Amino acid sequence: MTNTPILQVENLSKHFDVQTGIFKRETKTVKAATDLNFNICERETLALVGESGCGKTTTTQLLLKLQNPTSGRILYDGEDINTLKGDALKAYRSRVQAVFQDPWSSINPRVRIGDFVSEPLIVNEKVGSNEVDRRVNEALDAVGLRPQDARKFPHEFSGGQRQRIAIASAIISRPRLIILDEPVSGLDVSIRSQIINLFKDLQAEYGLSYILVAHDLATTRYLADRVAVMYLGKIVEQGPTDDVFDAPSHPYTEALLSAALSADPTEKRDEIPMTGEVPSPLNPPSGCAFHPRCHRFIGDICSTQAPALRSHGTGCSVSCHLYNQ
Amino acid sequence: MTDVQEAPLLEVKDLRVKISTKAGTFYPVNGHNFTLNKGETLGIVGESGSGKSMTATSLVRLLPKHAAEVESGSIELEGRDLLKLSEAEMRKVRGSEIAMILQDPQTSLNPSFTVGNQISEALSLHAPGPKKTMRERAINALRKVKVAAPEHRVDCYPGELSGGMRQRVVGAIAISCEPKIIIADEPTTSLDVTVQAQYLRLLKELQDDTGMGIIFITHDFGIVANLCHKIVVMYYGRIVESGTVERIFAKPAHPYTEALIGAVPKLRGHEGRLRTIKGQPPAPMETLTGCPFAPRCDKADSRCFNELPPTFDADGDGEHLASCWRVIDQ
Repeated sequence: MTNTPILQVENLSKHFDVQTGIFKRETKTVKAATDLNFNICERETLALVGESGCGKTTTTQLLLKLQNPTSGRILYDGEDINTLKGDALKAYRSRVQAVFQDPWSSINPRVRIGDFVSEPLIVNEKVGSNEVDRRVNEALDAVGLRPQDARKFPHEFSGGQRQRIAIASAIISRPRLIILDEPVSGLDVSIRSQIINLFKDLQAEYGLSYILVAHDLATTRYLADRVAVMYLGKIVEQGPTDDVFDAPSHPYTEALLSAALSADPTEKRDEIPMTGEVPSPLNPPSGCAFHPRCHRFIGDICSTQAPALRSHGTGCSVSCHLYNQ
Repeated sequence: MTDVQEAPLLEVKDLRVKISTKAGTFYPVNGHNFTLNKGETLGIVGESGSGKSMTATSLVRLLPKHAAEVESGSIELEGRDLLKLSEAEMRKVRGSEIAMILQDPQTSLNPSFTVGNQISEALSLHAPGPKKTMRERAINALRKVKVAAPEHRVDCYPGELSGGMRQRVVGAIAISCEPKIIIADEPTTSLDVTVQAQYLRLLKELQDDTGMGIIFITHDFGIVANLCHKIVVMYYGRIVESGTVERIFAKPAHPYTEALIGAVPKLRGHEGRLRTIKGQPPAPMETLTGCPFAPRCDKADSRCFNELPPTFDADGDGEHLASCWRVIDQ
């Protein structure tokens, strides 16, 4: 694995203003992502994990430039993507692609597969029609579909094949980074493993990097090299997947992992009961946002001061007062 | 698990459900045999289209009318054959003896009635009482499923509650009449892992308190491995393997079960590539001779393609059944 980061995220924040109260006179701010810092290197898979509403999707939208950040920068090969314009922006868009959860709604039902798959190429690059056909065949072949499938319509395919089509459309522009937003959760178990293996194969063949958003922690562990655990818009722990899964440092990571059910009856974990649900991002708790649910609450410091993300152990960082003494 | 050898709570024998359409007939439930004891949890596992939900709905007679019907077999709840009951008698069984929790709490609650209203509706059908006490009983039902501040939440509309909370309300409706069996059809697929864990823990506690039987319809092997006592694996409308969780995970007898278990990564880390099953599950109307899994099976020989395997006793003690020719060939 080379260590040159292709994408660097620096102090990235995204806040949304929401009108609440009687007659919507009151303006509150939802801090969907606060002060995120992470890098993605070549051939690396970074997973974002956390409960719904923790800001995973906002983060991926910022990376895809579907939203503009409130503050902070995203550097692609050292250049801020928010300053990109014209051809440079098109180049960025074709190098960073996405595969979404639901293959039934992410493909236009009236468009032939070949046209759907070639769209990123036609929009972002200037290529002739012969070259388009060749690249479509190449992409379909890479995901295990046949060239004649290009003439078919989406309804002629099953869920697993549709997800393959979505992947073909993501790889046709030869991207360096693909954002995978719950890419297998809509699929059946036997199909899921085919797609997971396909992601691994494509990564090895094309040197791809992935950012994975998945709620299934076992899949995350299988695919990701590094993992960032998010809670209410902040990264609370980050590190190599095996280290984080085997020895979680942040109490939230601990509780989250203990809640996951392993598909192995001999592997029983002691569940750490986490009370309540994720607080509303409109009224986040004071201090450390996790303190009302924390089983390792150490005192007033937790409810008054927000802990900073500090490095902890080799390659890990964690934001918790437990490790600040 | 119960050690008491009493009559099973639910005994399904040779159940067949037929779906007739213009395109032909098809059996989504084809010769099912299984039992559920008091205080026991049974997992029905399979991929989409394998007939799990059809099995569940046939137990409470909620199959789609005109399209599907039970062709043969029996469903005995404490010795009483549910298939012989009249529609009015069956209505009493539903909810008060067998309750269902459906997958999506968003769609199984009515958005324009308060939570309390919907719980009392179920109560007034099965255990009518004076109107004044209904609210109190609804609050009690919410308290049982550990909804915080039930006095306040009883007047909330479903839209004001989070997903996990809504699923608890659905659970409160299901347990309000103290059923003997709860059928939970993928009850946690739309929930976060943490909320899922809380919800499953709650179901387990309720089961310990009341001794109810639970039937879990799921494709999630995590739930099966952690919560169920027994598993039934379905493929193409048939039960291909059944037995206790420990035996099936330790030594699956059917290649389909084996492949499914190998296809799911382990939380503690997974070595090498994931197992895959080639191809797709068969379409409902496909005509297959022999074992329905044979086209996707690595170990299939000519007999598998030509003769449907009967159910064999895999371990010789009647506790672990599988329909695969390999069981007797070994």
